[in-house]
Amino acid sequence: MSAPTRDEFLSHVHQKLVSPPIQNPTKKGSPTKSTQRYRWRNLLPWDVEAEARVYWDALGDDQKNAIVDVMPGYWDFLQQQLEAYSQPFTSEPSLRVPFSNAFQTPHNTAIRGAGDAHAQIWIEGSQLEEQALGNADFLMVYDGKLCGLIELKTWWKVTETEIDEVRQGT
Amino acid sequence: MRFDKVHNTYRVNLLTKGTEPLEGEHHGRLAIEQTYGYMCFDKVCYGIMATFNAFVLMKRQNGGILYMSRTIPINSTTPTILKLLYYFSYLCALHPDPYPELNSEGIPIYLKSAPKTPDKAPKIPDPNYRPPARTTTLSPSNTEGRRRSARLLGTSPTTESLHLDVANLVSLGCKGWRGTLTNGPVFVKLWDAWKFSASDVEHEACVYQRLSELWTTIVPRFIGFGQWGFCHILLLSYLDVIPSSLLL
Repeated sequence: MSAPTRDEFLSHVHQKLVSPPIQNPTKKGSPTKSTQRYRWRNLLPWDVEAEARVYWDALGDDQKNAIVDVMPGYWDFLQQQLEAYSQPFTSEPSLRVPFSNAFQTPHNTAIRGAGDAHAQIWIEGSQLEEQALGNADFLMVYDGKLCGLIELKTWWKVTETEIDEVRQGT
Repeated sequence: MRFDKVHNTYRVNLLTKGTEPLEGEHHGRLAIEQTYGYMCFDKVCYGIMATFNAFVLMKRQNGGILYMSRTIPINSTTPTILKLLYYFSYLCALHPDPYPELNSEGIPIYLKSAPKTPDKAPKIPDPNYRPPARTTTLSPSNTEGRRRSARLLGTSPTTESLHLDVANLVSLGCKGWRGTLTNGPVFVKLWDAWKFSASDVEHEACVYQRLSELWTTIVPRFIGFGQWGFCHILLLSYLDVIPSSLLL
């Protein structure tokens, strides 16, 4: 088994993690207490999947077929890691390690040697040019600058239905 | 005229409007508001709200515009989440410089704190809003030794200095006072300048200006606004209202 190309490597599909037992379905736990919440003025749909397909189709074969420097059977090993994760998923912090294993490390590995610029995913920003004011779980960093963020929430609290209610037009 | 344009623009842009309640424990709303808030505070264009099992990709534009993807499941294949992240990190790298929310004058806006409850979060102010010209700058006259520091604001040629007599202020309850200007009694609204943004008083003045056709009928005449000692001040004509109980 040889090391995968970038296209093969990024074509991997993760499976959902299993929800913890809900002890009291009527009470899903306390909501966020962040004082940095803000409300937008206009909400517009973003078909980022279509954009990503166009971007990926336009990438040169040299980029798609570049070998990613991981050991053979990388995803099998990772799947074993995720399955062996014995700590119960009870809160946002308990998802950080699985998220880091499943997305952060593979992403930062895949962008090595890329022909275009990509931000890395960092877990904290003490080395940034300008410190982050927010408290996001992961930071997108390019050239020492914060340029994006990832906020983790738990899937048993924030559901697709609720997100759709925010997003849905009337 | 400018207001009409703004209003029309607002209507056109509002393609989607959420159906979620704006207050209370709606985890979806709170999660998106939190992620969007972090994006504003950290002055970045791009953000993701992820539950591990699903992803919502977001990008923001100045003026409180938020673009939001559908909820993309982790097992999506068109493209995979890993390819989406690859594209997302490319977008992020294209915009590495700080991207703050700006007001109509190109100045970064001051971001307020949200309550530590699920209550309504502050909203990005209208980027097309222009504060009305300060027609009045007030300095407290100090006739009875009650010390207030006079602070003149603005150097606009339209700025006019008025003097409100401290000694004749009579509390009407809450923030309302009855005072005396040169031409007679006025209604005075005073509130803490150290605690509340100047944009609040500018907004209120703007509302009164918009209602100018109703002045002296059901709306008092707007005289001016400014700063008075440590307070924001708004001056209106004084309407002596007869209590309804006396009309019976």
